[in-house]
Amino acid sequence: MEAAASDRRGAAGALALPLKTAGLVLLLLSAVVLGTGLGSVTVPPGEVLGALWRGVTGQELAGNDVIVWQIRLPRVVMGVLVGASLSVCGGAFQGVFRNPLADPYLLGVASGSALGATIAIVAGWPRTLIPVTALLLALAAVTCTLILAREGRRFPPNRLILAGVVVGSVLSAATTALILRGEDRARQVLAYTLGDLGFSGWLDVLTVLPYAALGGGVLLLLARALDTLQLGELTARSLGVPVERLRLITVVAASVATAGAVAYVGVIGFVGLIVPHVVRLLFGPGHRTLLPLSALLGGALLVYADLLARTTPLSQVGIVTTLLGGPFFLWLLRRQSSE
Amino acid sequence: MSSPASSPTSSPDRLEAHDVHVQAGSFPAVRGVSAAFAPGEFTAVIGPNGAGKSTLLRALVGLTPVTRGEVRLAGRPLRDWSRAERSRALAFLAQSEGLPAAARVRDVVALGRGAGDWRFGLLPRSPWTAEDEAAVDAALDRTDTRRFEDRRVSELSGGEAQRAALARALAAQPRFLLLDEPTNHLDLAYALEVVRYLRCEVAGGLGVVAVLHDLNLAARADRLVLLHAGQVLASGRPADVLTPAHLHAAYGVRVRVVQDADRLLVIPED
Amino acid sequence: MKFPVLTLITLSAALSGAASATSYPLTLKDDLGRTVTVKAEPRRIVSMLPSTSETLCAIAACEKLVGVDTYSDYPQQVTKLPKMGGLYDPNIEAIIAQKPDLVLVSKYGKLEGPLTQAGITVVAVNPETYDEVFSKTLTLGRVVNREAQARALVTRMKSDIARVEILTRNVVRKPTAYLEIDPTPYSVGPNSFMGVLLTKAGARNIIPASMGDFPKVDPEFIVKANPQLILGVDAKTAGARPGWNSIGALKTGRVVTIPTELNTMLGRPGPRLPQALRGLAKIVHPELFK
Repeated sequence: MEAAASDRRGAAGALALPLKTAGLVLLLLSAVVLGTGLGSVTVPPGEVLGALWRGVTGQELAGNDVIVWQIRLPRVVMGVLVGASLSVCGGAFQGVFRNPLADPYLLGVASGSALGATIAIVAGWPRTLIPVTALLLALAAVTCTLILAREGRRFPPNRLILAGVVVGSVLSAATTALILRGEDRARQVLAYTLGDLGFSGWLDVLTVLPYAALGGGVLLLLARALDTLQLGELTARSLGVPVERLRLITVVAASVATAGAVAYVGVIGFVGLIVPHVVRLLFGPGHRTLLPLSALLGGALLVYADLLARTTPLSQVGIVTTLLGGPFFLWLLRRQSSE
Repeated sequence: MSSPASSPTSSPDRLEAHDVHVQAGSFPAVRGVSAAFAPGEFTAVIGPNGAGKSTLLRALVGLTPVTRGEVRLAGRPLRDWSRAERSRALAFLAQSEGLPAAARVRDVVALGRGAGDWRFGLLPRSPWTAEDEAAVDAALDRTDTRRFEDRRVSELSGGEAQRAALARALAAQPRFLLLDEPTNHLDLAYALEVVRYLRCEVAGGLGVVAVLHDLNLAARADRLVLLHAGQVLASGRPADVLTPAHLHAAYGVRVRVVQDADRLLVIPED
Repeated sequence: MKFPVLTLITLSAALSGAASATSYPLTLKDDLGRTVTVKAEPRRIVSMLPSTSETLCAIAACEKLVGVDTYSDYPQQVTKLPKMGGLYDPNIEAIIAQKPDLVLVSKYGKLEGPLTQAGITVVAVNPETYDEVFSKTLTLGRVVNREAQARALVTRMKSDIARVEILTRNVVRKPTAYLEIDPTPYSVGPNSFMGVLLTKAGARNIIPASMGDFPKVDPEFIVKANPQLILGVDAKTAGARPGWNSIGALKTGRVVTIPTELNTMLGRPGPRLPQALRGLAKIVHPELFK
């Protein structure tokens, strides 16, 4: 009886996980292929392959080569990076706060970077400064939240969430005030707060990469500690997990990765909230699978969303993710509650 | 107050509280408790609400800082133990912290192997070994939870979930298991079942310290520590602790204590 | 005080060959689709749209203005008038305090409700297309009893435009052009106000009419279209965009930012339309204006 149960577990566990993982990998690959192959300009598949070859080998690029190698591919890679970052951070935030509604913007990263971008836009600073100010203010916002939430050496989750809400609201109000003063640039600010991969080049990809790699890498390493935390704070501590340290490192790592991503492409909504939920539904709650697989799914989804954004009148990737993500999330909630 | 256990001498293998004080904010939750707990012994900590039972338990595991006095494990002050040693030796089952609903039973139990030897407490150092696997299997077997090791926690009954939690605590192969009201929210049958499983472990040499509310359940323990207002009112064998005088002093309620076969029964008198 | 004004009206009416004093009460449909009755010739007007302020001043109604929005800055006279706030943050109290008998608003604001309730006549006038610049000028002329002046202004504007068009229409080499109005990036379709001016200035807009009047443009579309002229972006920004160095305009250095004043005129469908066109034409075809 017990042996049978164990076998069944073995078979199901051994097969289902790699199969579903392979599914996600395929999804991501298809996203990259379609994202590179399709666009508002029609480029035949042969030419796409040729462009990739010439790009990789560093040959002279002309015509459609430029579109494929310098515009589409970095845009796709940026989509993968940002989607993966937001999803991993969302998963980690949900884990560390043990709150299914947590998302990477919980502690004020989004409103901080929106304010940073707005300052640069309204002041009329060069476009290249926008990500810099956005990044700085995003990190400043999280720092503020941490300081406000601090209780001696502890960072109690409820105080963190509350402080995050307060910091977010104050910064959003400041952003709105600035927008109203610089009315004619309101659309640029709006575009930023919706998120857009439009002008992402290789340079941007290379700039975002360290944030994503560092933040995401740290979070992946913390997976098992996050699992233990799911038993409850006291239990985790009794098992030897320094919970305060875990919380602080998780929050900082996730905020750095999120800030890096958001600074360059704007505040893309819903990905970080939904993707971890989907992965949890498919693979269970263990963070060792949840975080890496969220990266795969998040990367794929954002590339698909961006593809929709640039080939349909939905126009911005953030609109697509929110428009499709919102109803999907509701459906997910209903499904879960009916089970 | 005068029972032998309240003036312990340091001895190997014992978990001891020496004049332990714990301050909870401005409130002195535990005020000079001395007690000793031995392996192979089932001690129940009883007392009215607010007597300091949970606080004492947390101080014994090292989850709450002791403001005065000290806790010793095997003769060595607990604060000198490394996080790794401590988390291996002392397992703790919290009162209200449930198991993650979506997780599989076996995965939850495996988490009980603990993070003691992890780098910074956060990064698992060694890979999962056959020894770990065996410990998890053993914990599942001893709590009869192996049958549903693949089920999700949300699919378990209350009693099954509590046994899974017990298996999680046992997976670390601790010397002492400290439980904060493990039978709370459980039907009588399940509560008795939990005590039965604990009894088995005690027979195997585990030291069990459990905060219990139900005095008749506590009467099944080897020893009792009765707390009142942060201090030990009485401790020793159930027959010595569960007297109408002690219970009236602690709970302010008149009770009758009757011997039924080999068990004590506490009956409140209205 | 009234006498010279009346004389002027009579004079210009005589010049344009039509006796055209507005008869009040005047009932018209405004740009919010409301039917509004202007009871008598307005004498205290607040204009909440820069183009409206310009038009009023261009049809000899400048002295009727008692207040303008924050963004009205032309002609010189309006800058001295009390400011009544902007589109999103109008100062309703200040407007009412001016005791206007007519407030000209944008249909995108929310002023008509409270002001109408306060018993003030509100008319929404928003010229948006090229043709509307002329028709709305005539409407404004009718509302403020400057119909003849409005007609004269339209005639003058059309002849000024024609003078530029004579130069640009028959140019042999019209460059393909991309006009960026917002770095997100947004551009203009050929049927939009600016789009029409771009075409009249002798450029071939790379944005087809099918994309709409103010389309968000996919960057790869711009690279593919390979415009010979890029307007509204500075060369450094354009060069930093991925793939843009392959665009013809960047290779030949024809990436031009639009001077602030010209930019204002291009975004303000009003009486300075001919000047805007001339300014744009000078950028597109500098050789014609030597």
